[in-house]
Amino acid sequence: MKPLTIRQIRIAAAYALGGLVCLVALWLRVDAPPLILWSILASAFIVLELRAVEVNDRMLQSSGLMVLLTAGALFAIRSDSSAALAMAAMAALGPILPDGIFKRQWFQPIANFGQMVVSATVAGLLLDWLLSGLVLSTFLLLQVALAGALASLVYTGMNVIMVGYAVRYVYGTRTVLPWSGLHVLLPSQVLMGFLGGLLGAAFHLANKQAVIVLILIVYLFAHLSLSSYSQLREAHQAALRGFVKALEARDLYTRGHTERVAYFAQLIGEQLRFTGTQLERIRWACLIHDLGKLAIPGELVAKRGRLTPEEFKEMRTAARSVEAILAEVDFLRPMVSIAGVHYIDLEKFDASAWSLEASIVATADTFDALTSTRRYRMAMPQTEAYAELRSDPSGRFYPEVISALESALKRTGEVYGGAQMTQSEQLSRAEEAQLA
Amino acid sequence: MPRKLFSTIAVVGLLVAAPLAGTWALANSQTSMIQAGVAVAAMVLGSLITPSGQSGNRLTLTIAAAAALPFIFLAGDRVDVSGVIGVYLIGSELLVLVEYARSGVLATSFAYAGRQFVGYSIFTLVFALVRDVVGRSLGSSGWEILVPFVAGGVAWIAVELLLWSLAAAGDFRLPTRYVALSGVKDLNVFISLVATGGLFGLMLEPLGWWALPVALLPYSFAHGAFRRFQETKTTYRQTIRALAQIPEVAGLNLTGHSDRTAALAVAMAKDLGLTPEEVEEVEFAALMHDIGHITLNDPTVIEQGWTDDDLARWGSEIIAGAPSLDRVAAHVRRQYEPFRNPGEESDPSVSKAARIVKIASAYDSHRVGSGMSQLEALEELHQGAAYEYDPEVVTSLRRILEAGPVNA
Repeated sequence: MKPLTIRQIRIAAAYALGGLVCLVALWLRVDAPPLILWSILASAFIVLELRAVEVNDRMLQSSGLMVLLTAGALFAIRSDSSAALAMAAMAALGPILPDGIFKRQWFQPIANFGQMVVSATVAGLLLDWLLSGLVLSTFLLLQVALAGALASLVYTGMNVIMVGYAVRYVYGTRTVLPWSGLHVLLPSQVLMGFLGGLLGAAFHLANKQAVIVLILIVYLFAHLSLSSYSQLREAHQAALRGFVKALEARDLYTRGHTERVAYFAQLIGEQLRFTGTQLERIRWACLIHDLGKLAIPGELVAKRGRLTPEEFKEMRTAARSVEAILAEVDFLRPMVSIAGVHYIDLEKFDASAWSLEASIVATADTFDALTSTRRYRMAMPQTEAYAELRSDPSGRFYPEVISALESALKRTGEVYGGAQMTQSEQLSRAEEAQLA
Repeated sequence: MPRKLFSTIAVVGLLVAAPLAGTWALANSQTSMIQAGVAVAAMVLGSLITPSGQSGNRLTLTIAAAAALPFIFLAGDRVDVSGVIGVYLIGSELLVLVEYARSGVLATSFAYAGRQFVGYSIFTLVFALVRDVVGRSLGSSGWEILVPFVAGGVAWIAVELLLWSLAAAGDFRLPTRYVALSGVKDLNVFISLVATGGLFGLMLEPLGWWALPVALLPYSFAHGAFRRFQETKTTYRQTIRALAQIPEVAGLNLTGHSDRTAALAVAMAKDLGLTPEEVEEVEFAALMHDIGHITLNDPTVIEQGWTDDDLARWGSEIIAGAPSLDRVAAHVRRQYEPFRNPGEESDPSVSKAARIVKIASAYDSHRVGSGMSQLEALEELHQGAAYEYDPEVVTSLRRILEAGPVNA
C-alpha cells in the first residue's frame, strides 16, 4: 500500500471513530428529539447540503448550516430533547453526496463524517449549556440568535481545524484550497448561525409546523435560484473559455499560450497574496488578453520577420476595436482595462496609468512568449527570460512582479524555455492536438 | 374592444369608487383605522422593492404585504374579509399613483393596479372560504392555516398568470402562450413573496414585530439570489453579443449584421410560437451564426479558399467549445441547408431555429449587403420559398415586417 493511502486510512479511521463515539455516547446519555420534527429539519439539511453552490471562486455556500442551527436552537430550548444529539445525527447525514459515491471516493466522506459529527456535538453541547431551561419570550430572541451565531462560529472553527489537520497530515504542506477564503466565508457562517438561532426560537414561540414549511419554501426557491445562478455563471465562464480555446486553436504556434499566461499570472498573484476575487479578475484578463489578435488581418499574422511601424499601427487599431467591444460587457470591463494594454504603444507608454495587475498580465504574457518557440526564434531559457524582463526600459514589468514569478517557479520546481523544454512542450502540444 | 372597455372600467372604478368602497368596507369591519393605515403603508412601501424576474411582469414586495393581511385581520376566529378588501382597495388606489410616477402612463398604471387588486381579493376570498369550511377539522398546529393559504395562493397564481399574459400579449403583440410560459418562469419569485407574507402573518401574533426580521431575512437571501441570477443572465447575453461582433470589427462581415439578424430572428421565433427557451436558442444562434467568419483571417484559409459549409462548420466548432451551447452549435451547423431538395421531403433533423436564422440572415444580407428595398428582399425570399427557404418562416417574416419596424 502507498504511504499516502496508509495515512488516509489512519485519519479516516480516527475521525470516524471519534464521530461514532460522539453519536453513541449522546444516544445513551441524552434525550432523542421528536422524530417527525427532526426528520423535517434533517431532510431540509440534506437537500441544502446536496445543493451547495459555488458562489464565488472556489467558495461553496450552503444554507445547510442555518438549518443545522435552527434545529440546534429549537431542540436546546425544548425541555424534552438535546441539541447535541439532534445536531450530531443531522451532521452525520451531511457527507453522503451522490458525487462521492459515483466517483467511489471513500476518504473524504468518511473523514468528513467524523469531523462534522464531532464539530456538531461540540456546538450542540454549547447550545444545550447556553439555552436549556430557558423560558423563552420575545425579549430573549436576540439572545438565542447570538447563541446560534456563537455555536456556528464554534462549529466552523472545529471543522476548519480538523480539515486542516487531516490535509496537513495526509498531503504534507499543501494548502487547503477550499478553505483558503475563510475570512470571506466566516461572516456569512456567523450570519447563518444568527439566523438559524432566530428561526429556531421563532419557531418554538409560534409552535406551529406551518412556520417551518413556509421558511423552507422561501429557502428552497432562494436556493434553486442560487444554484441556477451558479450553473449559469459556470455556463457563461465555460462559454468564454471555450471560445478562447476554440479561437486560439487555429494558430498552431500560440496554442496553449492563453492557458499558460493565466497560469503564470495566477502563480504571481498567489505569491503576492492576492485575494480570490483579485486572482479571478487576473485570470479572466489573461484569458481575453489575446482576443484582439483575432481582428488582425491575415497577412500580418502570417508575415515572417518584423513588422513595419505602419503594420504595427494597423495591428493595434484592429486589436483596440475588439477591446472596445469587450469593454461594453459590464463583467469584462475591468478585465479589459487590465489586459487591454497588451498592444501598447511603447513610445507613448504612461507609467502612471499602469497598475500592478496590468503589470502581472504583461509580465506573464511576455515571459511565456520568450520561453516559447515562435516562428521567428527558438525558446529562451527562463533565467535569460528574467534578465530580459528586468532589462526592459519601459517600466511595464514591475521588479516585484518578476521576483514573484521567479520565486513561485522556484517553489514549484518548474522549468520553462530552453532546449529541453522545447521538446517537452512539443510533447504536450502533441497531446493537446490528440485531445482536440 | 374588450381591453379598452376593461381599462376604462378600471380607470373610473379605481379613481372614484375605490376609496369610497374601501372606506365603507373598513367602516363595516372589525379592523381599527390604525391597523388599516399601517397595512396600506406597507403595501405602498412594498411596491418600492422589486425582485428581479425574467418575464417582465412587475412583481414587488407588495405581494408579500397583501399575502400577510388575511392572517392578521381577524374577527374572532374568522378572516375579516371586509377589512382586508378595504385595505386592498385603498392600497391599490395609492399604487396607481406610485406606478404613474414610475411609468408616466396612467392607463397602464390603472390596469396594473386593478390586475393586482383582483389577484389579492381572489386570494383572500378563497383563503377565508377554505378556512371556514375545512379549518376546524385540521387541528391547531398550523395546518388549519397552511391548507387554506395554499389553496388561496394557487388561485391567486392562476389569476395573476392569466390576467398578466392577456394584458402583456396585447401590449407586446405576442402570442399569449409565449407570454404565459415566460410568466411561469417567475413563479419562484411569486411564491417566495407569498410565502414571506404568510410567514410574517403567522408570526406576528406570537412574536410581535420580531416577525418582521424573521420573515424578511430568509426573503433577503432569496432576493439576492434572484438578482444574481438575472445579472448573470444579462452578462451572458452581453458576452455572446460582444464575441459575435468580433468578425464585424475585423472587417470580415457587415457591421451590425449579427445584431439585426438576431432581432429579426427573435421576432420570427416568437411569432411562430416557440417556447421562451427555444427563442433564447434562436437569439444566440442568430447572434453567432457568422462567428466562423473569424477564420477567414487565417492565412491557410486565405490560401485554400472556403465554402459556406466550411463557415458553418467552423462556426459551430467554435460555439461547441462552450458545452452549454451545444444546441446553439447544432443550429449554426445547419444554417445553410436548403428547406428541401427537388424530389425530396424536407429534412426533419434541421431545426426550426436553423431555418429561422437562415432567413433572417438572408433578409439582412439582401437589405444591407445588396441594398435592396424591403419589398425587393421579400420578393427574393418568396421566390425561394419552395426549395431554399421554409415557407412558413417566410410568411412569418412578412407578417412581422408588415406590422412595423423591428428594433435591434
